Amino acid sequence: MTVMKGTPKRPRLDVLDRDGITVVIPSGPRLDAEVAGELRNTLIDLIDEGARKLVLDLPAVDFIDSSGLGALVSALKRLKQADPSGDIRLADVQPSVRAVLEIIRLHRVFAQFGTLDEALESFGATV
Amino acid sequence: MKAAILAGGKGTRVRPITETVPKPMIPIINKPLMEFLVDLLRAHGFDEILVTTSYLASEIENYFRDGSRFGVQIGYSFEGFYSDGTIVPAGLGSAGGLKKIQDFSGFFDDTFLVLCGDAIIDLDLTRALELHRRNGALATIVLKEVAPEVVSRYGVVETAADGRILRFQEKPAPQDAITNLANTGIYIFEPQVLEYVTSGQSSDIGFDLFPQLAEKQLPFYGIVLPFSWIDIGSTSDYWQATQMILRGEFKVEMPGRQLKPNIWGGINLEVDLDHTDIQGPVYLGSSSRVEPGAVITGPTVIGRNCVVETGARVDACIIGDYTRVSSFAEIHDKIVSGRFCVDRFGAQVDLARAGYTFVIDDTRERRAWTAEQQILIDFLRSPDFQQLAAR
Repeated sequence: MTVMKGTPKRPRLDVLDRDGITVVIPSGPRLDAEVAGELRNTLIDLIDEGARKLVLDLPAVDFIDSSGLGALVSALKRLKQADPSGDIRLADVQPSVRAVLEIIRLHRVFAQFGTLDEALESFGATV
Repeated sequence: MKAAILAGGKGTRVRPITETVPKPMIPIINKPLMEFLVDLLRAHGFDEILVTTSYLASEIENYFRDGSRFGVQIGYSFEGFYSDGTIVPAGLGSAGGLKKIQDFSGFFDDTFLVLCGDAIIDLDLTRALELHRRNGALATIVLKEVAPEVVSRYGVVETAADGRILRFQEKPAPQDAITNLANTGIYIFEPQVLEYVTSGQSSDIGFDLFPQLAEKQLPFYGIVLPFSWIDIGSTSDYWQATQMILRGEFKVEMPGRQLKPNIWGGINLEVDLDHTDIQGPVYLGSSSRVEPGAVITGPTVIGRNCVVETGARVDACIIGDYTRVSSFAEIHDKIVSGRFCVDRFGAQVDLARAGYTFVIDDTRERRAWTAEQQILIDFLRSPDFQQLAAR
């Protein structure tokens, strides 16, 4: 009997470079414990490789749990240690995610923009 | 005089609050919505009240019991059955429920009033009854003008100059609505009206009974009286209603006592009003603790047995009983009910499922934080957060 294991999965995070700004786009609707480790590692690797201006584009995400936010905070701490002027900004944040950010006050730490282009422009990119 | 309160509805659009509390028991400044109706009925001489119950029936029945605590007699007509010891609601609809009562005992033997258990009103019921009798009506609907854009939530009617109802239209699209005179769910009936309802079948007053009365050209009237009517159809209605009441736009007697101008509270409170930033109108439920350095801005209701910790910010919220609002929390325009947090537009977050119990939780829970939660807690307490948040 053959057991098929490890069906190839679509990467859950897409990473793009737009005018020197690193854009990370989760493809699934949930940033939870299952994705948090990958999100943290991806962001930290990008920061260690020199990324200083990062945008997390979140149109597809409608749920973020404490591990998802923990990953974001860990990455932000790493970035600020590497370069205090670096920043992680959020684009196209859905209402249920925005509500969580506000309740826990992290909307004061992660600036939010309506669209990806607006977030890129906030970093001085020409879009 | 006799009245019926229709209290069997499921309150689907008021979820998640109605997961555990039936709509008539939703607390309006810590007092169940239906209690406002019982008070009003008593004040106008309606002292025999039949309540139709179904969904979460025991929540209603165990609170109102026989009505003696409220100065009236209350009985219940339960619509459902038991299956393996669990109540299975089986509502008969608003008209079917009244018919069931009538078939059982002929309870409605004179002019009677019917109220929906999901709205607060300050209607002069005595005046409405006078108009019903003066018209010689078989059935009277109390009408209210509503904004044209919200007609699709209601049944609307067209009346002749003498108030006689010509046409009835249930929940029309705004562009199709014949008028903006809405059915408020307040009815005055003669017992004979129930002859137009079929026994043992589910039927609705608005959908099934009223069109028949209009079609048969029976003495069916609409009356328009000045009164306030707050219909709790959805979570945003609930938030809005509480805001209006606290701002004094709908007069109710505030429970408890006044602690300071615009601040009211129950008993057994732990709050130092000189070292806490509370901007009214705010109501603090009994046995709650507000720690020094908490900031509460009205219109806000804090439920019973709550804790609002130092540094917490609460602004224009309804906080349910037994809620701990931690020092990490900042909540604006929200309803917090058990594990759920709902914003004024109805978007909800299951705080427990998403792991935010360190921010908002039940005061009775004792939890240990997960590693992920600890990362967030450490960050929120760190000088880094203070510095970044101050940007």
